[in-house]
Order: sequence, then C-alpha cells, then structure tokens
Amino acid sequence: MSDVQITKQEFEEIKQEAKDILIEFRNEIENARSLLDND
Amino acid sequence: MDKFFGKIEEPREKIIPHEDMSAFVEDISPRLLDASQSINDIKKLEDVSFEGKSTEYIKKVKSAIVSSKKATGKLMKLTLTRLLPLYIAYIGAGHVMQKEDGKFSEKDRARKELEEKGITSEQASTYKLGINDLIYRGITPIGYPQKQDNVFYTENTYWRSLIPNLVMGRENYGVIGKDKNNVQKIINPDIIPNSEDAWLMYLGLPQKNHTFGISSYQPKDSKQDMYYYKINMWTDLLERFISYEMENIEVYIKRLNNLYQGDNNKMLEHAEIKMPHHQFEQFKIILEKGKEGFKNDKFLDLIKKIDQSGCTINAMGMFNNMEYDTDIETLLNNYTISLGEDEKGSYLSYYDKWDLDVSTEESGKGFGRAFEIYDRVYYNPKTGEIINDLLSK
Repeated sequence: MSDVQITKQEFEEIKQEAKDILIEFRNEIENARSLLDND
Repeated sequence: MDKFFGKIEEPREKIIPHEDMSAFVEDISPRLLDASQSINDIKKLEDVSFEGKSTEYIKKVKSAIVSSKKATGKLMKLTLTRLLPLYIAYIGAGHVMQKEDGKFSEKDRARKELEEKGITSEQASTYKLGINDLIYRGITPIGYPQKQDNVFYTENTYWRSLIPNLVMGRENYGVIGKDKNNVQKIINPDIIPNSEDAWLMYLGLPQKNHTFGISSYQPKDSKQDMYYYKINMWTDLLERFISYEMENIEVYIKRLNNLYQGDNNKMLEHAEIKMPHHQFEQFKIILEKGKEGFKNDKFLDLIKKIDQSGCTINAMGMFNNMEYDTDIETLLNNYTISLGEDEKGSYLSYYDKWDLDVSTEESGKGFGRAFEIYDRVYYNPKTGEIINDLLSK
C-alpha cells in the first residue's frame, strides 16, 4: 500500500515534464523581474 | 491471450517504490511552491505603464506577457492533470510517521512549544517540507470535503480550488462565502484567522493568530492519556455571549438615568410603556441586580438549558446570534458543551475534534494530523459567577 501505482515510463515522463515546465516557468519569472526592474 | 484482451500490464511494472516517489515529491514541492509564490511578479507585468518607454521595451513586455501566460497555463495543466493525481495517491499511501499523542503530563512542555514556536512537536511531526506548505497555500479551510470510498474526491471544493489558489493566491481567489449581510465575498485568510490557525496546526505549521493554547484539563471520562488544546478566546466569547443583550439596554438606562435623575421607579414606569416585554424584563434585572447580576442570571439560564438537555448539548451556532462576527463558530464546526463537577467545583466544558474526517488521519499517515480541543470554565452554581482565577491555571 505504500507504493504509487503508475508505470515506470509514465513516472519518468511526469518527472521530465515537471522539470521542463518548472524551468520554463522559472525563466519567465526571471525575465518578468528583470523587465520590472528596468521599468 | 493478448490478442483477445489487448495488452495486459504486469502489475509489478506499475508499482513505483515509495522512496522514489517520496524523493520526487520532496524535490518538486518546494519548487512548485516557489513558482506559486512568484506568480505575482508575472501579473505585475500587466500593470506596467508604457508612457515614455522605448518601443523595444514595450515589445519585450508584451512578448513576456504572452509567453508567461503560456508558461502559467502549462504549469496549471501539469499540476492539475499530472501532479495532483500523483499527490493524492501518494498522500493516500502514507508518507509520514507521526508522533504519538502527547501525554497529559506533558502539557507544560506542549504549552511552552506552542508559545515559543506556535506549534507543538506532536502537530509538527506531520509536516513535510514543501508539501504541506503547498496544501496550505492551495486550500481554504472552510467546510468539509466530500469523500468517496474513504479517499479525497477530486471534484470536491477543496481540491477543485487548489490550482487556481496556487496560481492566483488564496487572498485573491478563494471559496466564495456570504457575510452576515448576505453579501458574497471571497473568504480570504484575514476573514477567518481562527480557522486559519486550525488549518495551519493540522498541517504541522505554526499558528499565526494565537488561537490555541493547551488546556489544563482533560475530559473526566477520557480513555486516553493525552493533553488537549483550548481556544484562548473562548471564555471571553462566552462572557460576551451572556452579556451582549445588555449593550443596547445599557444605553437606554443611561438616557433614562439622565432624564429621571436616577429615580428607579420613574425609569421603570417609562420603560414598561416604551420597551418590548422581553427587553423590559432584562431592563428590570439590570436595574435591580446591576450588570454582573444580569450576566450571572444569563449564565445560569444557559446552565439550566444544558442541564435540561441531559448535561450535554451540540453547541453549533451558539454564538451566531451575536451582532459581531466570530470565526470561532466556523472553527468549531460541530462541537459539544457539557456540564460537570469535580473537587474544584462546577464547570462547563467544550469539546471538538478538528479533523477532515479522512481515513489517513486514523492511520496516522496522512498529510495532516487531527487534534482535540477541550477546556473548562468553572463557575459558582448558586450565583452564576464565572470563576476567573481558575481559568489561568
């Protein structure tokens, strides 16, 4: 009961997707902050 | 076989070891929380004034607005369709071994922890870095979640509002409720300070509004050796409850006092004609027994009512008739008030268990930890006077 039931492939896909999206989002935040600083 | 039934997954292939899942959740949660807390910076771009700005800067800002909206959309979709189901499965599977309940003899230690850190070590043992912060930020602690087959059902209000709450902030987007004037408004954390504290403590985070203390008492018939939490303002609230009707009458008495220069008989004659019967009866008590006497009589009325109901009442809504807002009624959703007696004297007690009524609470492995609230107010059964010197002990 202590394990989550999804396939290993699905799990790896989610990990990669989450990593990519969070990096993209982080870049957007940094870009926004830099533009706000120059305002 | 495959040609009849299609591809059959081997169950073993579908199991992700708990350690792997735990490592992922622990890694992703703080980053997701950070993203959620940074989202306001993106929103600020829409308020940038273009006056006197270069064409290049304007172009960059407009482009950033478009691309950041796209990135926000992706983040929302990821959280909703991928991470949320994983979190729910992970939470349901259990990830934290919580401490046992604190013993009654440990109440001084718990009290010190609560004063110094805003949380007891028992409640803090449910905390998981990032995850609980994320749940706190994402969920408004109002009402009870629906459950199906003893698991959180993703269609309930709590979870449905989690993603917009994370993206927009609970202060901007939350559960819509009605205030006492029946006007719809967002239930943000400022409106419900006591419920917020309960939610924080449940998740193992420090309370912010000094709502809870540790009781010096435990129920007489308690089967468990444990300490209980108390609500710091409950006795004040009770005192206000038994005296709030007096506020309007006091203004009236003052006016008549000026008019008739303290002549009680003339004041009574005047009030009998002008006041509704119920109010006139209260007016008479205040005039005869003073403010304290009025309060004590009211308190004895309450005691009588509880006594007639078998010494225990469901006190939900008890404070609702007061003319001021109180979050305590929201916090104590369905609590009981009882009468009792011990060597110190007669007392009135209140009890509630703050939980979400989900199976993981019982196994002690959920993302939160239920806690029990119990305290006593001692009183003189003859006069109805609340004995305050016992309250501080």
